[in-house]
This record gives sequence, C-alpha cells and structure tokens, in this order.
Amino acid sequence: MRLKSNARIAISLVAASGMLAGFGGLSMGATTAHVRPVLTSQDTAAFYIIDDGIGFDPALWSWDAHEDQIGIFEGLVHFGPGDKPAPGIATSWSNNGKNGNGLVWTFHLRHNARFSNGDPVTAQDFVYSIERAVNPATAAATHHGSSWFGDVPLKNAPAIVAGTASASTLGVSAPNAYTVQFDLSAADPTLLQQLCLDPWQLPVDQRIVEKMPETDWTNPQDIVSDGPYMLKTYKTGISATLVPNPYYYQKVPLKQINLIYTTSTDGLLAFKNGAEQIALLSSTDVPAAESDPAIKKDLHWESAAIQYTFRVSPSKNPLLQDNQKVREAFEMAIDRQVITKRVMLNTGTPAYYSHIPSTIAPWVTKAGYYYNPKEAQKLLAQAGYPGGKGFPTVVLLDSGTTDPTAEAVQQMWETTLHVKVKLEMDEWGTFLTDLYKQLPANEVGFYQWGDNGTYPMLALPTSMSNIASVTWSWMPVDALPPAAYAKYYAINNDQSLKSTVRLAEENKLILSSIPKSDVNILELGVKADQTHNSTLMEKYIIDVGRLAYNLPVYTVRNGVLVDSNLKGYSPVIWWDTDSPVWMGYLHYQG
Amino acid sequence: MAQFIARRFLYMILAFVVISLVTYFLMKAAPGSFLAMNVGVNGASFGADQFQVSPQVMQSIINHYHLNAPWYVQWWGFVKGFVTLHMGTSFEYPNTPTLQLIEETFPVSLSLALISIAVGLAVAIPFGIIAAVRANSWVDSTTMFAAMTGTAIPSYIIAVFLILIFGVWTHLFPILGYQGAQYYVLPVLSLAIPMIGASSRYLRNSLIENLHSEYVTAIFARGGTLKDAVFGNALRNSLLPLITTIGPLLAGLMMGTVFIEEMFGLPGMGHIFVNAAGRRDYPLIMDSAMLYAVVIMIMNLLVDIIYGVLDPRIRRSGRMG
Amino acid sequence: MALVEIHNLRVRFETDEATIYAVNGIDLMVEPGQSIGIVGESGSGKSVSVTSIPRLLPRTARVEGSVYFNGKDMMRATASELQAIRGHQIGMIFQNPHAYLNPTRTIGKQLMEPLLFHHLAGVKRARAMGMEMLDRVGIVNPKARFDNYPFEFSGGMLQRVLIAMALITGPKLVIADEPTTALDVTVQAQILRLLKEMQRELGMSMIFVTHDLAVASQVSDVIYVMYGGIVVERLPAKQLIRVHRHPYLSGLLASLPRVDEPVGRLPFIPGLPVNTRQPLSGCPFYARCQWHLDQCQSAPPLTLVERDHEAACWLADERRVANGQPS
Repeated sequence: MRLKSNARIAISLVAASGMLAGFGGLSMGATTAHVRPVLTSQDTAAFYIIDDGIGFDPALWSWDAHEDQIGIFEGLVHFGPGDKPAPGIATSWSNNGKNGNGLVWTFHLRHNARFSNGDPVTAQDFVYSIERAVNPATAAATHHGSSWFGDVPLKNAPAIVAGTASASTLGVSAPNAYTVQFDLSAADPTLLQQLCLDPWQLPVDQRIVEKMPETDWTNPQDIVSDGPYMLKTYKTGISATLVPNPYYYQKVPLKQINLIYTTSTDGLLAFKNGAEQIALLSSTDVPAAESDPAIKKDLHWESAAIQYTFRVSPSKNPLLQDNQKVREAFEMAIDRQVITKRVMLNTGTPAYYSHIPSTIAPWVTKAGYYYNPKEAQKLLAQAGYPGGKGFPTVVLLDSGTTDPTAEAVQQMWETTLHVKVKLEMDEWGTFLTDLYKQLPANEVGFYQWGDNGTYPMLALPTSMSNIASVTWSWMPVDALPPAAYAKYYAINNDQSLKSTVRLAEENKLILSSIPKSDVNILELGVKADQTHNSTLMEKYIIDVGRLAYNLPVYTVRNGVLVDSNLKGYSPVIWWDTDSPVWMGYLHYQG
Repeated sequence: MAQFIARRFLYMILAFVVISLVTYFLMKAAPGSFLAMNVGVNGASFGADQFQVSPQVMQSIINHYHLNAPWYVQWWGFVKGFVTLHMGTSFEYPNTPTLQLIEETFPVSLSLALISIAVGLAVAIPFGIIAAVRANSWVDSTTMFAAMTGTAIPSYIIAVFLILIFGVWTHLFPILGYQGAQYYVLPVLSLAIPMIGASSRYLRNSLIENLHSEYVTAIFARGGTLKDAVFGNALRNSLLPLITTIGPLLAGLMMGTVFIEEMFGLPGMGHIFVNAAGRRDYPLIMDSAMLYAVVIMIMNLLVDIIYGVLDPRIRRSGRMG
Repeated sequence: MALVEIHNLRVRFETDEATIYAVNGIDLMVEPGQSIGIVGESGSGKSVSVTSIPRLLPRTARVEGSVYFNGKDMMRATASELQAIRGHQIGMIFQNPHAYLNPTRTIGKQLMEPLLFHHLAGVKRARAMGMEMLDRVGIVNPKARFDNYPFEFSGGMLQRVLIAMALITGPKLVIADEPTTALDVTVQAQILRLLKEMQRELGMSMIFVTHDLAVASQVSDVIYVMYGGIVVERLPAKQLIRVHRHPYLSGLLASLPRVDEPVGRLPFIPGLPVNTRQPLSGCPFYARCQWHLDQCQSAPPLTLVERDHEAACWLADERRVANGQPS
C-alpha cells in the first residue's frame, strides 16, 4: 500500500528479472492446450494477495488491514466497480455542501448489519473505532504505524495526534444508533474516495475490542468482523481461509475464499492447476499466457496506479539541481515505448507523472517530456556539454540484483547523450541508506523509485508549512542545492530534535533554498487544494511534472488471469496486487 | 560416550556464543535500519508525519528493544530472550510472539527436510548399491547419470517440472497449500531429487572401496558370495560415513526449503525468516540465526551420536573423532 | 594324485598405465598332508601364485596355465563351484589380520561365516563350533571373546582367530600368506607352532608363503624359492642350508644374521629387484648376479640337480656349485 509498496516494486522487480526469469522459458512448455479441470467446487475462490503478518486490526496500517477493507470488514462505504465509492454499512449520506460550508457529513446506517458474533453494528461502534484509530496511544502500544494518515480534515484530529487533546474530542459523533456524523475543519470533496482507501473507517465491535489484547489480531477465532467474509484460518505469510459471516445482512455468494500469500508461487501454473481462480502473472509469463489458447480468454489487463520513476539524487555537484534544461534532456532521452513494449513485455504503459497514472487523469501526459533524442542532444549542448563532453559521470542508483529497465535507460542515456552512466545495484537496506548520501562533486545522478498513484486532488500540497514532509506530488527536497541539502541532511538526522521542531526547521530551509519559481508552483498547489479549483490543480501538476526533478518511466500494468466462470471481479488499482475491490461481489455464474 | 556428549555440548555453547556475536555485529554493520526502511523516504520526518510511525511508536520500539543501549546489553537481551524462550516480538510481526511463529512453522520445515532426506536416501541407497555392484558397467553409468542429472538441476527448477507434470498436465497432486499428506508429495520430491545424485554417488564410491578392501577378499575366501559381501558386511560400512553427511545435508535443506515452501505455499518458517535480514528486523535476524545454529548443531550432534552407536569402534571405546 | 597341481601358471595385471608381469610360468605341486613353503622377496610373485589357486585375484588379473585342486580344473570352474571350494576345502590366512576382518562385525559372526556360507551348520551349532575352535587356537575365555570386535584384539590374538576361521571347516588345504610378518618375534613363534600343530592334527596340506627362509624351513617339507615371477629353486627344507644351488638363494642365506658371529653389517644382495613392467627374458637374477654369463640372457630351465632338488641356473648343473659358490 502506498509507500510500502515501493519496496514491493523494488522487490518484485528483482524477483521478476532474477529468479522468475528462469521460469519463463519453462512455463512456456506448459502452454500446450490442456483443458483446465476445476479442482475446486463452484463455491470456492482462491487468489494471491500480499500479507505482512502485522494483524487484522483496522487501526494499524498493514496489508492485513487492506484485506479487512475488501470484505472482511465493511465500513461506511467501500470501492465499487471502477474504484467508485459504493454503499457499505451506510446506505445513504449527505454533505451540507450546498446550503452550508461543506463541513458536516451525515451517514445513515443500515439497521440489519451485524458482526460475526451477532452483535449489531451501530453508529457508536464507528465512533469508537475511528477514535481508537486516531488515538496515537493505540499504535504506540503495538510498535506499529496507525492507519490514520490525517488525510481527512476531521475536527481536532491533529491535536489528538499531537497529544494535546483527548480522542473523545474527535469530530466524529453518533446522533443516534444508526447515524454517523463527521465534523470537518475544512471542506473535503474527496472524502468518500479517502474513506474507501483507508482502513481507519472500519467498525470494530467495541464490546470485544475493548478487552482484546493486540496479539489476538492474528488469531481468527478472536477476530470479530462485520464484512461478508470472516477469517477461519490464518497462517502468516502463507495463506488464510475466509468463510461467510453468518450474520451478514445479505446472502454471501461463496462458501469459501482462500487467500494465497506466498510470493514465489507461480501464478500461471497455479491458475492452470486450479489452485487459484484469480492469478497475477509475472511479466516473464505473459508471452506463455498469451499464446495458450486454453487460458487466453481468461487474461485481463489491469493498470495498477504505480509509477516506476527516476529521481534526482543529491550531489555535491549542483549541475542537475541548477539546470532544468539538463534534467529535461535526460527525460527526453528515455524511450518509454521501447521500455514498455520490449523490456516490460507490455506489463507497463508509459508514465508522465510520478504519482498520477494517465489512466486516472489523461491530461497528465502534458506533465512529461516525450522521447526526443535530437532535442535532448541540443539541450545538453546548450547547457555547455555538446556530445556529452565534460559532463560528470551519471550514477544510476537502483536496488536489487538486476533491473532491465534501468539497464535500458543506462544504454539510452549513453547512446543518445554520450554521457558515462554508472548503474549501481544495491541491496534494499543499503539502497535506502545510500540514496540520501550526496554524490561527490565529479558525479551527478538519479535513483530509482516506485511511486503509488492517487487522485489528482489528493496530490496537492495542503499547506506551505508542511512542504518538508512528502506531498503526494513532489518532494521539494530533490531541488535543494548542495550546501542546503547538507544542512537538511544534518537536521533530518538530528535525533535530539523533536519531530515538530525538525519539520519546521526543514520547512524553513527548503523554502529559503529552492528557486523562487519552485516556491511559486508550491503556492499555486496549496491554493488549488484550498479552493478545490480543478484548473489550478491541473496547472500545478503539469508545472511540477515539467520541472523534471522526477523522470516517470512507466505505470505498472498487470496481467491477471480470472476464471471465466467467476464473476464480479474488478481489481483495486491503487496497489500492486490483483485483489478484488470487494470480495462480496465475487460469485460464480449460474 | 557421556563424556563425549558433554564435551560436544560445551563446544556447542561456545559456537552458539560466537555465532550470536558474529550475527549481531554483521547485522549492526549493515547500512539502514528497520525504522528507516519502514519510515520511507527522506528520513524520520516523513515517518512521523506521513507513515504515521509516530514519535511515540518509534520511542516505544527503541525502548522495547533497548536500541540505544550499549552493544553487550542489546546482544545479551537477544541471547537471553532466545535461551529462555522469551523472545518477545519482532519488528516485522509486532503482534505475534516470535516463539509462536516458530512453534507454528518450525515443525513444517523440519518435517519437510527430514522426509526429503528419508525419501532421498531411500532412493539413493538402492541406486548406489546397483551402481557399485555393477561398477563401470552400463548399469553403473546409467544409474549415476540419472542421479547426477537430478543433482545438476536446482530444486526450484525440478519443482516447476513436477508442478507441470503432476499439477498441470495430469492433476495427480495439489500444488498449493497444505491440507493433507498429498500436499507434501511434490515439495518433498523437489527437495529429494537433487539430493539423490550426491548421496548415491557417495554410497557407490564408498561401497566400491569397501568391496575392494581386504576384508571383503577374506569373505570371498571364506566362501561368501557377492550378496554376502554387500549385505552382510560392506553396505553397513559404507552407510556409516553416509550418515555423517546427513548433518550438513540437513543444514543445506533447512535453507533450501525456504523457496520450495514459498512455491508450494507450505506454512514453514522459511517465509518468516527469509526476509528478516533484508528488512533489518534485528530481533528476527538474531532469533532465526540462533535457531538455525542450534538446530544444525543438535542435528550434527545427533548424527554423531547415531554414528557412534552404529560404529562399534566408537561405541566400545567411547571416543569420537 | 597331488592335491594341488599348478602347471606353467602366468599372471599379469593389466591396468591403464602399465602391464605388470607378476608370475611368469611356475609349476607347483602339493601332496595331501604335505606342507610347502614359498620364499621370495616382495614382488617375486609368491602371493599372486597362491591366490590363483582359489581364484581370488582381482578382476584386472589375466591368468594363464593350469591349476588343479583336488582334481578339479580351477581355471574352468564356475563361480558357484569356486564358492563351494573356498572356505570349505581351502582355508586362507592373511598377513594383516586387522585388514582382513570386517571392523564392524564381531569376531564370532565372522568366525561362523565359513560354516554358514557352506551350510555346514546352523547358527547354534556354528556358534558352538566357533567357540570350540577359538579355544583350540588358544583364545582364553572364548565365550566372552566371541562377541568382541576385531579392534578389541591384539595382532597375535587376531591371527589366531584368523587361523581358527580358516580351519573351522576342516579344509584339505590351508594357504597361509605371510601369516606372521606383521607380528613380533615371540608371537610369531607361537603362531608358527600353532599352525604346524593344527596342520598335523587335521592332516591337511599347507602352502606357507613367506619372505623369511628360517620360518619357511621350520614349517615346510619342501621349499620353493621364487624370484622375478619364476621358481628359481625347489628343494627339501632339510637340505636348504647344505645343498642350495641358485646364486639368489645363496645371497639370501648369506644375508641371514648368524647367532655365532658378532653383530656387524649384514651382507645384502646389491642391485634392484626385477622390473615387473616388462615381460621376463633370460634369467631374472641376471642383473644382480655376480657370476652372470652371456648365456644367462636366455632363461635357464628349472633342472633337476639331484633327487627332489631343482634349480634354474646355468651354473647349477655344469659347475656343480657347492653352497652356491663356484668351485
């Protein structure tokens, strides 16, 4: 999910290019037409999903909580087909946007919703659960991160997180047993999407959870949930089985769902065997699946909103930070078509903005620079490096053992720009350490990163006072000149500073060190966020993209095999997985 | 014998301390930390604000694992926790005690490894005998070629072949999950087949050597047949050294099962420990390294004890090499 | 009829690197009840010759000539016929008892093997016979020792066990291949005495292979002296000192330490042993012989020099060499 999946991308790239490459050729041998008998009954479905073993507590940020979201729990709303919000426990809702200031949302709950132990799901459960998730003490007790990100402007939430107000002051209330009311500090037109994305809105049974130790969240028999399915078994990192919640408010279509967690399982073979009804293909298995007449009809292409990008590395040499034309030249020298078609074998589509795929907002293509080798050479010559002469060595920092895309980019830069490109493959932990280190003065560079996508509206900076923290669109830290970056690095690593103090100092440093034009763009973004003005929003995103601090290469496109008899599947696009938006939709035809 | 075991036990304690120290320092020397890695890009500030690993959470992790304490306190904390079975939880699985993870997964991995060894030996022994008795004939070369081919192919490639043949084409065996003994068939074969080559070759050479030794000539001189020589005498003497290879074999398998468990979706401990190092999960790195060390040392000790019991020279004299 | 009749036996070993000409045509005869000694230095072919009788040579050996045991043509015998003879009618005693016993099997089990292999007794009876045999060869407390392992015995005790094992089936012939070489002198004497006693007692024939002339003369009726894969002299043991003819045998006798002389530097035969990697031509002792003639380039036949006494030397007959010295 989100940033965590960056690691997943890095890891899956390694896996795809390394070990799994060995399977590609072999799997092709499996393409002789064999009619796939259905081993499992028509009442069961199995698919791969990511697991991290943190536990199914919706108040914690984890992949298990993602599983909660798609049907183990059911919140006010959940994603429906096409990732649009659909009614959940709330059957209707209203926002006083037209008459008032848009600060109050009212959700009307269905009266027949029950937890898996038979307890009714009431508005009070929602209030309890959301307060519990926002309360920093909940996460602190578990040594793990909260699922509350502060993306929704619930009243008093920042004060509660900072520890200056009690959780009971949160802007969530229950006027009656079946009405939930949100009081916001600012209007939020994307609230429903946000609720679908975040597990903190999922209701837990107050009566049970109040007395439940955190360690019980990995024991199926102790977990009480309100979704269509409930956990029957759970084996960390291996598998889980789900069975219908006997108290669910409507008939649950499947008798059992098997969640497969193992990452080394070959999706194509598992699908052909009948062990999985929804299977994620590795890129090397795509040709085999496409040429197999027995399963070709089952192959679906789903874009995941994740972008493979290169970011400018910090360096003692100010060249890349100083010179936008040089950055543009490097972006123009990347042939995205060749990479997506020939290197990624169509498991990627060209990307033009680091956080927003063109499948979500087609206009983001304007934020990138298209492949143009002539222009790239010209720009580099104008910058004083005709034919790459005198240009410092370019370090391309990457993680894993091999990365065919990075190798292709290395080759493109060397042949088009005639610069020396050094590709450095680091182990993941080393990579995370190295990417903060300034390169020496005779080197400049880029590092590889995977960025999760989001809605354009959610990609805007919310305030000029928290620029130092990541905004979904852009990390202005990339723009810091060498001396300022060194200062930033020192502040950032100063453990003696309180986080609020550190953040304020970093913010001040960034705003005073980056080019004025960059500051203007940030101010435009904040304005767009505060006014919900879509024209300003587009302008901000295109402006940021054209600064070329990030060079987006491709958006991940997954080949997913879906049993032709299994209906109701629609993928979650926000995370690099083949999980369905809502398990409650899955059913067999007839 | 008792004295031997006692002395070996002392060595094991020493080795355990050394392994835990080496692991500790290597782990600390690796760049990056679990906190930094899970906090995400641009350091702690990001974690505090976006990833929501709040300062409170971070402080609680630091306190809980004594991450600011001197090295010997941290190291001793890990060792003491492991030895007293109070390992607590790891960074990666904050809500499941590590001991519980081990209890759930260790039997699967160990049984997978042991069954694979048993199956591997059950095939390797007849192969080795046939090849040795018909040494340098076509029977010998065919058997050894078949065995060595299995060894030359890594177990995960064999696994793919097995999945294709038994899972996709014939549907004879399940390929994913664990719901009964038939789920073990393909994983066990994947691990056993590569082992057969080395073991049968080892037995063949050892048996040939024995068959050419003087005591076998003496058996023939007493009127014994080849069968008397092999089954009455030489085989036992050739199997004895084979037993000593089981220790290292098991050590190798404990590592090798990781990938196979993942491929076949078996609930073994591989998947829990395999990423610990990559994620800088200090408690899990320490616990897994110490667990593997203890398991391998105990297995080697058991193998040596079994060897001693089977070899009268050692059993009677009470000395071991 | 002789018990063992060997005629023109030739053995060579063919390996990838070379061919070893180990035995280059020997004749040998053992009468029932007779004890013969075969004497020679290492590499002279004496062990290979006797191992050919029960056909126990390794697979690389190429054997020519004829070997008859008890009237049976051993060269044409089938595997099962050979197996029926080995250990039943021919017992073998080897040089190094530790090497020739399975280290992981008890003495008793190995001792019973000849009886069990040939179905001469059931396990219970074999056990009783084994204990009795152990007792006869002088093992104290055979009942306790029966279940001991070879490593729990001393070399001399183990050789007694080996003798018991060779004799337990009451064979017609016992082949003792340097049975005392690995033992110290006092034990050696005990073993020799034991062997001789047992041989007489059981009335069997014996072939005793040794490099030690003195030992051979103690236990044998007839002595064959081998050199370079051939028999250079055959003579009754009693006449050994007196009438030997071959210069090699003379050299051997001269190199024996004498009790009645002060201990000085022992005489020895100068030169190197025969190169067995080439086929034999002429007298094998030619290169080391101080009296060699041009004639010696062609092989001297083994000729009768007096009753029961043959020698293979051109000088042996013509010059009437007395005590090996040309007169």
